[in-house]
Amino acid sequence: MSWIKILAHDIRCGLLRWRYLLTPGLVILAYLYLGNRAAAIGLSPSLGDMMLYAFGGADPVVIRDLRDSLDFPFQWALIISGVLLLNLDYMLYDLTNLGQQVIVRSRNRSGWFLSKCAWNFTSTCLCFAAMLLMAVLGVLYFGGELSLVNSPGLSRYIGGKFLTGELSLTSWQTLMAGILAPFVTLAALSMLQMTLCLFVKPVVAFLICQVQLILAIFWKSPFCLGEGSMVLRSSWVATDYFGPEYAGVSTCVSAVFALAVLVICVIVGVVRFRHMDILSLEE
Amino acid sequence: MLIEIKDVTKTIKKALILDRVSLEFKGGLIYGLQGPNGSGKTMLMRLVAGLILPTKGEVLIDGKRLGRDIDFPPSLGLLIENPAFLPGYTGKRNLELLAELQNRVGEKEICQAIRDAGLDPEDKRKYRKYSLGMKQRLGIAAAIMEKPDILLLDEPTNALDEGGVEEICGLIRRERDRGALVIVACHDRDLLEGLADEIYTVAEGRVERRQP
Repeated sequence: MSWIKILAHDIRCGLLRWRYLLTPGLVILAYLYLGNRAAAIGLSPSLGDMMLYAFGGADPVVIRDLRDSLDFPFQWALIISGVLLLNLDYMLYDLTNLGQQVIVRSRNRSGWFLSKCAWNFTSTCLCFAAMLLMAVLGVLYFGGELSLVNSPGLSRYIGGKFLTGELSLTSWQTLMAGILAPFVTLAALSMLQMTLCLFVKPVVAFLICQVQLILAIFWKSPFCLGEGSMVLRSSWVATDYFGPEYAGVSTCVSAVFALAVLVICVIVGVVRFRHMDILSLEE
Repeated sequence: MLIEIKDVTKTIKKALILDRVSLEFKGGLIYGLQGPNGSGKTMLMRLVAGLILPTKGEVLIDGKRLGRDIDFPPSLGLLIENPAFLPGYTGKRNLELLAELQNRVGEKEICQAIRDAGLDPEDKRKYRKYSLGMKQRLGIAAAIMEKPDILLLDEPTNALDEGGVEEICGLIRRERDRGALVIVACHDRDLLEGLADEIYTVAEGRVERRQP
């Protein structure tokens, strides 16, 4: 039996849920904030501005003095954690309910887990598409351009406190730093969380991913999952103007690393699930 | 159809669930598993279904080892613990969605299975509106609809009234008569004595055949 049929079951049970309507709520306040700030100085945000702002993240953390304050990236954390929460419980819920009927009919443990991976990825795509749609609606509402070119006048809202001068990214750089890299990172984190659920309780898997995100804020490395989803950590934005410790990481390297993590999680998950006991939640 | 459980021990989180169990089940017979709650009946069912894998020993389905040669028995009907379906669909639609996974049966067989389980296939009520007894019957219908070679029923008469219990016992006997290997786990000794061809007592992970 094709795993596509199991995926159809997963889409029916795990994606067509009312809770996905909450996804736009993760970004709408950020877009409204940026739009209103832009309107106050006579500008209209472009699509690129919206995405760069939503996935801005935090400046590189350089502790020189304990009195230095950290601007915690609340909106970035809310968006990432919100999507992780949406993807948290479906696999185990299904496995302890109707999924048991599905898996014995599929007669294939690997196929069943791969369909869950496809569901997880599709779910992340859906969330990201909802965020993009809200960005497009926001741009139309504030009268901006549906372009990935960022508006120089809005740099101070998008850029962190270490940004010198105006932010100037090409459309390709905006596409990478503001859309593709955050998406791949989010997909990898979500897959990591789902694979961790095969080893530990879902709440622990969620907390491990949160710790990973906090590490990404304080530890600057392209090999720290989460780094690629912060525009302000990109070497295209964070320069070494104040010194090498302020220089950002390569967005492309971060994205490729996230992609590698995603693939490794799928492989580890398939291997683990082949030998895993399928029990009820109480057991 | 032959199921061989060879010297199987199962531990979960250091708790001994099944202790050196060796059994053989053949097609065309009803096997009863009797024992108190928590004795290991359901785990034995899960083991045969391929949902859990032995810590030691092996389970063979027609000579093929579960977990190595095959992931699950090739033709299996299953009702373990409480039935679970999609609450927003009718009973028939739920079974249709499950049947689509294997494409072995069509609408006619699905409607027949629903009728055999004592429900109306034309009932337009959503599953969430079903009573406990109706949910149980739908679970049984799902287990039998594809005419499986192996039928595992864990407490199949839960939530059924006296008439319903008789109906389901008749249904189980018909499944046996068509050649299916049926394993029924139940804590009700009297029910199993009237239904099963062989009865095994499960207690603290050990399984022993009860002498007639």
